[in-house]
Amino acid sequence: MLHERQVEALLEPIIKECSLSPQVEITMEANPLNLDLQKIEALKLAGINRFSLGVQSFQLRELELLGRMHKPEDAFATVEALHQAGIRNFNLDLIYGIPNQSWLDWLSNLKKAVDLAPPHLSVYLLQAEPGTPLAQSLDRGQYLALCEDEEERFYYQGLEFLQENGYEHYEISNVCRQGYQSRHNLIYWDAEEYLGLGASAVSFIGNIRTRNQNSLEAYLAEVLRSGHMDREILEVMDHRALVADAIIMGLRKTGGISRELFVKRYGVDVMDQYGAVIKDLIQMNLITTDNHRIKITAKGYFLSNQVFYRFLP
Amino acid sequence: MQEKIRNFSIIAHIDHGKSTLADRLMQFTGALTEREMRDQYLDKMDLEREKGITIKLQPVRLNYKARDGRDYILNLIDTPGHVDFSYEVSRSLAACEGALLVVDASQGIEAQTLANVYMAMDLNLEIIGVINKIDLPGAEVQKIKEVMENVIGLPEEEIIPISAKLGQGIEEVLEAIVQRVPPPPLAEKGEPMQALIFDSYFDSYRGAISYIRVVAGEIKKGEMIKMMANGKSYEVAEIGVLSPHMTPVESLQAGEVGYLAAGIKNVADIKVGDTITKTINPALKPLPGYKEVKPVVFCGIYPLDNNDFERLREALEKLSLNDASFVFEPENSVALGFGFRCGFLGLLHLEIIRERLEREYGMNLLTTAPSVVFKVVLTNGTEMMVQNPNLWPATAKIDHVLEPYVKASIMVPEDFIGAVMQLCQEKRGDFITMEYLSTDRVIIKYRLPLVEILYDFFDALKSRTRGYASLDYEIIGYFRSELMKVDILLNGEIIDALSFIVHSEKSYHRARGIVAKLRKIIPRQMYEVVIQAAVGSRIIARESIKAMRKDVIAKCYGGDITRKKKLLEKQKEGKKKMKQIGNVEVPRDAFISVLELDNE
Ligand SMILES: Nc1nc2c(ncn2[C@@H]2O[C@H](COP(=O)(O)OP(=O)(O)OP(=O)(O)O)[C@@H](O)[C@H]2O)c(=O)[nH]1
Ligand SMILES: [Mg+2]
Repeated sequence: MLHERQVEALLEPIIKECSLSPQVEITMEANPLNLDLQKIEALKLAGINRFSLGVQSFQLRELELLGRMHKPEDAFATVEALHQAGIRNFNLDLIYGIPNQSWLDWLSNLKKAVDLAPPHLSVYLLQAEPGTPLAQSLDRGQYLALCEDEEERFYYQGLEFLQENGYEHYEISNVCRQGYQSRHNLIYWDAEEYLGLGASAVSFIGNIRTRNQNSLEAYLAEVLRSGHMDREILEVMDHRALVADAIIMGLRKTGGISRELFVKRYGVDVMDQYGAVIKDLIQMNLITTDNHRIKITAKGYFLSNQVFYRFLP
Repeated sequence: MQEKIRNFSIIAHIDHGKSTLADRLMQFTGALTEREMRDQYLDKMDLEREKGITIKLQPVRLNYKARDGRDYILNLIDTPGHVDFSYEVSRSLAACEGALLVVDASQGIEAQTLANVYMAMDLNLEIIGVINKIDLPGAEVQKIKEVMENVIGLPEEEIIPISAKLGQGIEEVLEAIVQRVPPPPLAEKGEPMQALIFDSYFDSYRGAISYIRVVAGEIKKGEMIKMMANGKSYEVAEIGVLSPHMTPVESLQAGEVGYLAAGIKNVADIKVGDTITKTINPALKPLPGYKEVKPVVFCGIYPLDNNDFERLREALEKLSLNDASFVFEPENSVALGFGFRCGFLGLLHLEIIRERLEREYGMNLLTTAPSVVFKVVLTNGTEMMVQNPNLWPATAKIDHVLEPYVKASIMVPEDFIGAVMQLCQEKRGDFITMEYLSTDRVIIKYRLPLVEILYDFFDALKSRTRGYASLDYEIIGYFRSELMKVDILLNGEIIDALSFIVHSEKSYHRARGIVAKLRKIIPRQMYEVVIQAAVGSRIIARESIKAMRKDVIAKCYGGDITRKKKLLEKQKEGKKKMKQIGNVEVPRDAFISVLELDNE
């Protein structure tokens, strides 16, 4: 993790050169092990105003299984430090669907998280990416993966619990207290432009998605030499692809997408262009529409790929 | 001219080295340059190369200066060895005066060795025995010579040992052809031209191209010719020889083999086995032609996209020009829409045709489970031939049913006699005879239902005899049998394309197997899917597939949108291989894969 001095050096020119809005959101992602009160205060001084902690679980067994270095106490201590430093805006990442996890295990994680009063929570289904040690142990049969039905139950019952505790569900895997939606993440889901700085960062500008050079040395060398980032083009999108992208990303939000906005931004009415697809999806009870908006149904959240692939060009 | 021509086919059991021998013959006579040479040169189709087998007959013309100092023209036809393609062999033989019978030095005589050599003998061809692969450590040249003499009647001393791989004995083979294969019969002056079409294919630029054997008279470029089957006439645009590249010539004379193009666009106008004559001084009678082959396995072939029906028809027409042994007629299915019922000589034949339709004509196809033709005698005395299980009459109307039987000849080392007999018994076979071919090899004959040997019989035979057994069969007629129709239902609806006919004793077992198999290959859907098998209204097997509960990308942010979209694209591609039937999406391979039951 960056040293607070490095963060300061990074942010200083941005804060100086760009006239940032008073509502600017500057988030630092961190593992609970890497933060203490002193560091948080220094980072706050440097300009960080939101933290996102990779807590994942409050149970030692689960943390070990996920290959995380921290212990449950570290998460408590870090959140305590955030409070002390006066950081009110922060997020906790949690993972469910861990092998052998019971509903009570998951519920207890959720309860502990809620007790820490984070204004924002991301709850992710465990994804054992092929090639990772976890995927390998699962393949070897060392752990028993949860079945689809359990994962689905954990998802919906978990959301229910969070909503009962005052959280608003606003994206497939994200909930927050009112007014605390992640402004950064919304940019992706609203299909807006973004600029990524640093090695392997992704940018989306106009109709082109690019990724910076992966190697830090090579990235730095090029920036120092030419003042430009060495970028690889990931996608060049035509109009159809842009519209599809915006629908697929937009439908991740529980509020869905606005037809008027699409007409304004892309000159197309989604209902016209995707009439047949939308009709099928309504029939399957995966989306709903009214005169203004198209949204995924609650049933659709956990089956959302069934919705998304149909919009691909 | 005639006395310098030799026409011969290379015949053998599968994999005994016919195409490799053809390579050496072309190489020795200089038909191909070293640079052009590649293994099994005549296996030109991608499918042939991938599978390592010959599917189509292939003629080549060689120029050979013999030891007697004279130049000969040798017309060679390489043939396939697999039993499904024996029609290619019989047509090749009809264009020749001789045959090279190739026998693998380590395998010895096998089932198709005999089947093919008997065909050649029936046509009175001169047969030259060749033992190939003498370089193999397991070669038993002397022993095989004896068996060839005893079983086929070829004098031991005339059999030529060779290694096609190493190029040993090639000149002996060429000399034997020159000396022993008779030249084509002498043409008489002024006799009407007759040429036999023994193969053809469709070329998108030049129309139909035919391979012909001129039997009488002479044919020249620019002349008007007539198809004797329907009387239509055309002008010869090009004639030539395959040496092995297409080489145009001015004329082809009696006894010669070559190709002909006449701008024929309508594939129905040109029929393999037809006789070509000239409009001036035409022949009065066509040549004998070929016995029509009867397909024995039928299945439905449907375009995955219903709009491709007409394209499929065109593709079938063009392909049938190149393969006269498969038949097709339109049919329709409630589940699958419009398609064709197609008949084949065996399952490999089916697989090859389907593959060729997909590759050569860019079709995306769905194939239903193959079935044989049953004969149903109704209570009112009439007989019905049922190619499609859906046309099976109601039980009350059926008096009795007959199914096709074959006489199967299985050759195997004597150690495996017990294993083979047990397998045949399981497959409802009746023992006919057993004879010793040599001291340790036998040929066992069984009467078996065709249906039983179609699916997995050959695999089972191979695995129970450690690969040593070989099989040949011929249809011997229809016999009474206890058969019934089983329907498969998805969510309560009969899927006509999945119905099948089965022997009553095996109905439960097979129904349960198919239902279980479908449960495995149909992916989870948005709704629960219930799979049932029924005889009439009685359900005899049931399984269900629970509704899909999860299909989600949990995390999707700026850095990995591209990658996540690729996952969705893959999913979309997968859908293209599915057929929507009612509210169930069925993978297109489900219809045929229900066959692969017993192998699991
Ligand atoms: N060792 C050895 N192998 C050979 C010889 N001749 C052919 N083979 C091998 O035997 C296999 C089959 O050869 P092919 O020439 O394709 O046999 P084929 O009779 O044309 O086969 P089908 O056309 O499918 O019936 C190949 O792997 C050849 O390399 C030989 O003289 N010696
Ligand atoms: Mg071959």
